[in-house]
Amino acid sequence: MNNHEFEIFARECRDELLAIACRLLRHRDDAEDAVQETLLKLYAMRHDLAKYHSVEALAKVVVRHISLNYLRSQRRHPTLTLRDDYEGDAPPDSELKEEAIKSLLRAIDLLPSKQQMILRLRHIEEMETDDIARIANMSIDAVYQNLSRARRAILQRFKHNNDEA
Amino acid sequence: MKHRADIKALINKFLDGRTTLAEERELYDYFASDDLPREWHDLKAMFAWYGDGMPEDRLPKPAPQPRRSHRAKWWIATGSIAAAIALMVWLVPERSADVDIVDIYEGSYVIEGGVYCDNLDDIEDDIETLLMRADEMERHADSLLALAD
Repeated sequence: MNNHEFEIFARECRDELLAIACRLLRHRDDAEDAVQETLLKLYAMRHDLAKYHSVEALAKVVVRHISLNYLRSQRRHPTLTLRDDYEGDAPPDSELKEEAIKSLLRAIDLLPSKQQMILRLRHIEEMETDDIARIANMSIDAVYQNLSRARRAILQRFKHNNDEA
Repeated sequence: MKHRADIKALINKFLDGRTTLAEERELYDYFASDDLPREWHDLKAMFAWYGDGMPEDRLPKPAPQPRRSHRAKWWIATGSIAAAIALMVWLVPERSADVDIVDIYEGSYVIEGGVYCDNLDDIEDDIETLLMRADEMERHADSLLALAD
């Protein structure tokens, strides 16, 4: 999937992903974050997406996974397991094989967080701010904010490292 | 070569996430020089890291979180207890649609900011808000349990 195709896909499935995240997280801002993180992570894996029959179904699984991980991290419901994610809105087995999903979710977990992802898109892929905003379906101000937070965190690391040396 | 004040403004713009790619390259070039003001020496390594494509092996480890002293822990514990006491509502367990609202909430009280209040006219809104939140949490919990089933 190239950049243009990904942008179209992101625009088309955003509302549905947001609805799934909202149902789980019950908080619009958290849900927006989950959708943005989903799209950024899928973008990072865009060259591997062709092997999945339905990228939209895949995105639904990923957004649920990210939302449930967020809930777990907040200790709101610590006992849900991955298999639970495939009930309800989950796509039929014919669209996504369970083992393929597990393997993908493991890979998703290994990818960096939203801020780090934006940092990488900017500094490694040298993407313009508005391109990052389009891909993640977020506002340009939100990209500025995430980039700023990530860069300030990195600055602190270098300052601390320098203080210790 | 840019004026030092311009570079300082550019650094702030960079940290605000608002630099263009061209401005970022300008910063990398500037900080590649050996002739830098002393207070910017720690920025040299950082901009070199960005300029070289963020190699993981050159990213310093995050600073360890400072451990809280016993005194700080005591204040936090005290604060938590105070916060828990700050809004405490007791409700009678049985509710019926036929019963007057005053009867439903009779015996309820709120302690807010250390002040006890059992005047139902004053605390009725607090009670209603609390019940709505409880209902909302219950619905949320139910939906998550349904997923787990």
